[in-house]
Amino acid sequence: MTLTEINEVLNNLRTCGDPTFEKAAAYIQGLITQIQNAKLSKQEATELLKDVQRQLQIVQDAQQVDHKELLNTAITSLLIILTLGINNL
Amino acid sequence: MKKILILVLLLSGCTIYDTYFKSGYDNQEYEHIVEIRLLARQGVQMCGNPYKITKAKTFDLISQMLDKAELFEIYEEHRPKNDSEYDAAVKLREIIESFNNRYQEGSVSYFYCKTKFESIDSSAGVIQKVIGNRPR
Repeated sequence: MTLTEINEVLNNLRTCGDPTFEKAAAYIQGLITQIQNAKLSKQEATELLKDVQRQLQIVQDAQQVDHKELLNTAITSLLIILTLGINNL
Repeated sequence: MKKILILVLLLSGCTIYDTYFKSGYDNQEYEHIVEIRLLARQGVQMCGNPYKITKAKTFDLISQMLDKAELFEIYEEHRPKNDSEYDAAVKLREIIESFNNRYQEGSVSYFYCKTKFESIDSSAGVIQKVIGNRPR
C-alpha cells in the first residue's frame, strides 16, 4: 500500500460515522505530517502508531461491557415475553 | 399475576445483570486509575522543557505512573467477571512502559512526549468510565 492509498483509506475513515475511528484516522494523518516535517523520529512514530492499536483495544474492551448490557436487555425482554406466554417468538 | 411478574422482572433487570455480568464498584480500583490520569495530566506540562532537572523530574513522574499502572494491572488480574477490564489494564501498562523505556534511552521530541501523556490520559479515562459505572 502506498502513502497515497493509506491517505485515501484514512480519508474514508475520517467520515465513516464512528467517532472513535474518525478521531484515530485524523490522529494518524497528524502523525504522518509530523514525520514529514521531521518533528517526530521514525522510532517515536512507530511507537505512537502501536499506541493507537492499544488505545483501540482499550475502547473495544470498554465497548464489550456495553455489549454485555445490550445482551442483558435482550435477555430481560425475552424473559418478559416468555412470562407473558407469547408463543410466536 | 403476569403483570406482577413483568413488573418484578423489569425492576430487577439491572440487578440480575449486575449480579451475573459485572464486578462491583471498588473505591481503590477507581482511585488507582484516577492517580494515573492525574500524573499524565501533570506530565504534559513538563514536555519540551530544556532543563535537565525537568527531564529528571519527568522521568521520575513516568516511573511513578508505570508503578501505578503495574499495580492497577495486578489489582485487576483476578477480580471476578473482569476480563475486559484486565485486558485494558494490560494495554495501558504497555503504553506507559514503552514511554518509560524510550525516556530511559535518551531525549524525546516535544510532540512525542505530549502525545504520549495525552494518550495515557485518554485511555485511562475510558477505563475510568467503565469502572465508575460498576454497580454500587
